[in-house]
Amino acid sequence: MSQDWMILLQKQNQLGKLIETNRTTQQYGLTLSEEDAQLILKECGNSLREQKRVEFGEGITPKIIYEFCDSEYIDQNDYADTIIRLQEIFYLYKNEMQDEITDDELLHLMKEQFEKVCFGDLDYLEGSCLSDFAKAIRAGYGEYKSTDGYGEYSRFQDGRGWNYEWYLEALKELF
Amino acid sequence: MDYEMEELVPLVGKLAEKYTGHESTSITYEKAEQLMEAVIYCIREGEQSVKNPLTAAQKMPAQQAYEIGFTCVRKKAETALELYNSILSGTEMLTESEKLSESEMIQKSEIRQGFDTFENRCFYDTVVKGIPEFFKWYDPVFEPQNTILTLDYPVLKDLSAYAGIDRIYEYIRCIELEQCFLGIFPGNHVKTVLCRYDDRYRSMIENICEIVLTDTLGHMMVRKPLQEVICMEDCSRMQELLCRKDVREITALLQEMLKAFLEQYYKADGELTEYLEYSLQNLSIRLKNAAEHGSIPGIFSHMG
Repeated sequence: MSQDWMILLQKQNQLGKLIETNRTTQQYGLTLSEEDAQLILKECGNSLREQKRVEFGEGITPKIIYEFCDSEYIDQNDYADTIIRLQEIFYLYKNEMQDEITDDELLHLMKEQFEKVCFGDLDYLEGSCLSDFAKAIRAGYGEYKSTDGYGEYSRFQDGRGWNYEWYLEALKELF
Repeated sequence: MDYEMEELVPLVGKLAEKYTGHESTSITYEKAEQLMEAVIYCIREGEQSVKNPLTAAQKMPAQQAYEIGFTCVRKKAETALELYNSILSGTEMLTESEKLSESEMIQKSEIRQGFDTFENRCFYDTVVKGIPEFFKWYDPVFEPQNTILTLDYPVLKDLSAYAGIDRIYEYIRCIELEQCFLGIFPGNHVKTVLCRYDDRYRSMIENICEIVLTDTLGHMMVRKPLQEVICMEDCSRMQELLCRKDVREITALLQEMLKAFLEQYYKADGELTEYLEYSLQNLSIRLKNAAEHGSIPGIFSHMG
């Protein structure tokens, strides 16, 4: 079956919704220009295609913005890029977790891990914390449902906080 | 009635929201395709149930067509379940003393039938064990097009064009008709015929009706009572008769004999006749081929 019709499913007027988020995010020093918003939407479409997912309804991006806007690890310089990465990670893990987790549960989980375990490192978020959690869900873990995804950050730390390659990278950045 | 994608997509969107319980804003391509198929299946079901299809000018909105179709799907599932339960419960089985011999066949108005699997494992597994699983797992909302079962026991009618509840309903109808036909015969006649055909009939995966019908028509062709075995001499007479006919003529002969049999021992039931006739074309070809190669006995028995 041709997938052209799936493009029709993506709801329109998402650009307006993104700009609207500035009303909330500006108190944290974060705003999106129209250019930023268009780039974010374009990358959102790419991520969806890459993950073979189709979006309907409001879309996840405004929710990502509202969830992460108060993070101490996001500033105006990297705001748009961070949102783009978070979108990619979100769709990747909806697939990895086989849609067993709701949008809100995953967002809450991502935010907690981002703040308290990864300290703003998106690569670590994508490659370690969420990966471990996805394995647990595929194996049948479901306790996150009772907490809406909150309070999970300590459960899946396996002492792999230190990674040799990341150490080398950090060293290079320092020197 | 054709609907454009622009008309169907909003229905898929609503179904997707329902599917995710309004807790997700995206689904996989696979799931989206499944939901689109669900929408199309229901709309088609609704269209088939309408006696006078609407013209393009009268075309109803896709949402309405979908809702009507969905109601039809649910009704069909209920009807199929009722039919299935009625077939399985049957009516009181006749005792041996009540059953008539071949010469005193039960008159068409007095036929009473009970469900019988004739100890065939495939039939039992498919019909008695399998079909209840269909009704347990069938999802008319998000996947009405899914047949779920493999329906291993073969029926005479080609159901490949059907899917979902349509296929199951047609299948149950076929089983009902088979039980009607097989219920004509007294006592252990069916099992006797099956055993003559193949003493491993309990584990075979072949249509029981076809075997019994073939045996019946064979006996009619040589004018022999059903309880007697078709011998080599009978096979020779059949070969002589069939060699002189082409496939079309043999089919016509079989149809005539089938009609006569059902009129005498069942009723002038167009539906049962039509169902059993699905096997006649194949039987004609096999008989013609067997007559030409001197292998008529193999039609009636797989043994020796």
